[in-house]
Amino acid sequence: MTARRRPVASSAKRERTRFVVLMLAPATILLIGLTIIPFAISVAFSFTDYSLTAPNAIAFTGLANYVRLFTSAEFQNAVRVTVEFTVAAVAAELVLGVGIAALLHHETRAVPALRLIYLMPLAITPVAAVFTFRIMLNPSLGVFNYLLRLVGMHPVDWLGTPGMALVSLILVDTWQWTPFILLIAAGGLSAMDEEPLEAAAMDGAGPCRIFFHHTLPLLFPYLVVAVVFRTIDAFKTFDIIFVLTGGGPGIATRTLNLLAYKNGIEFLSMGYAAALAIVMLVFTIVASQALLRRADLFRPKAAL
Amino acid sequence: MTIGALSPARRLARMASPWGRRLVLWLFAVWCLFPVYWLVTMSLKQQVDVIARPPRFLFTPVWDNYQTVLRNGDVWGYLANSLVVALGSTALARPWPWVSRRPT
Repeated sequence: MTARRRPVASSAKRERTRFVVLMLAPATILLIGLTIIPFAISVAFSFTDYSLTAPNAIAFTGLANYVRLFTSAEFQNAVRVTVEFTVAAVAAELVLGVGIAALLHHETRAVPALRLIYLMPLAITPVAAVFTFRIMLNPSLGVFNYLLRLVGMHPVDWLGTPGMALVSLILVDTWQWTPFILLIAAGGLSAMDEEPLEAAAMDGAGPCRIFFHHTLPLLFPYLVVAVVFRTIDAFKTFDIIFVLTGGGPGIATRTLNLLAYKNGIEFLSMGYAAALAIVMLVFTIVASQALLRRADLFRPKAAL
Repeated sequence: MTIGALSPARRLARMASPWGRRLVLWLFAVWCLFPVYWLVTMSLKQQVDVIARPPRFLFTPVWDNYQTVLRNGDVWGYLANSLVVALGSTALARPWPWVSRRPT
């Protein structure tokens, strides 16, 4: 339309539009094909009784899947387990990661070697590492209990009781992902302006006070990013739980993700599993938005 | 364990000295490395050493497990699969230079 009114600019403008469309096309096609269409399909499935045992008889059931989900005890249990696992694991990783990063920041000897070692848990194939943990945590022939007995403590049934199984999962997740927080915190520390810290030291603040009142507030923006990433990731952990406990004993460590896997892949009720996946997605979006918006509430007070 | 018994202030004071700090850093290194160490030693153990009670730190290393894996040709197929997935997803996800270039 503009082209007809202003014929002089039309050619250049059309060229420009065509260029922009052409450049955006690959990313748009990928986004639509790999994200939006599968998502739309799973939303559609979540309103049906689609099951792989009767793939030709799909009926629209409205909110039946969601009603069944929210009223089931297994869902409530899965929510509780997922939240416990996520909160405990991310908290442990945050404290340990920031602590080690702060110590490493002041270290002068063998720093490259330490850094290399700290990255091992991130570099190794998760299934192989978790399988090794499974053998190490074996109550009778595992090395963990052997070491506990060596120092005179009682052996622990790491994977056999509901409480300890969850603790073991948190332990393994902490082993694997603390280096991630450590990496981000170390990056934040090395990018940090040291002047306020030096000024505080001149004013007579001890290392403890400097860390909690100056370093931590300055590090805060980095930690928010790290925590949001880790929370989303821990929320949908699959490999560690699948290999280490398989959701057991009983359903004690069956998280939302494992529940969805059980229903979709093992019981073949795709509609129900799709509803579960949608609920998980909503949880993730709400939780991460809340975390980002409210992050300032957790910000330690700077005493500058 | 010994560190946990101290009060927070004393714990931090102790960490401030280079040797306390070094101890903590290397303990964390051992914790990070131990499962990797165990994985490697298991790969060199015979079945009887893997399930030994108590766990064996000293054993005669054997290459049998590696020979079994390499002789059974399946591993190359799996390796190829991993390579295709890794390269393919990286190729799709990388910022393509012509997408970000501004029209002139």
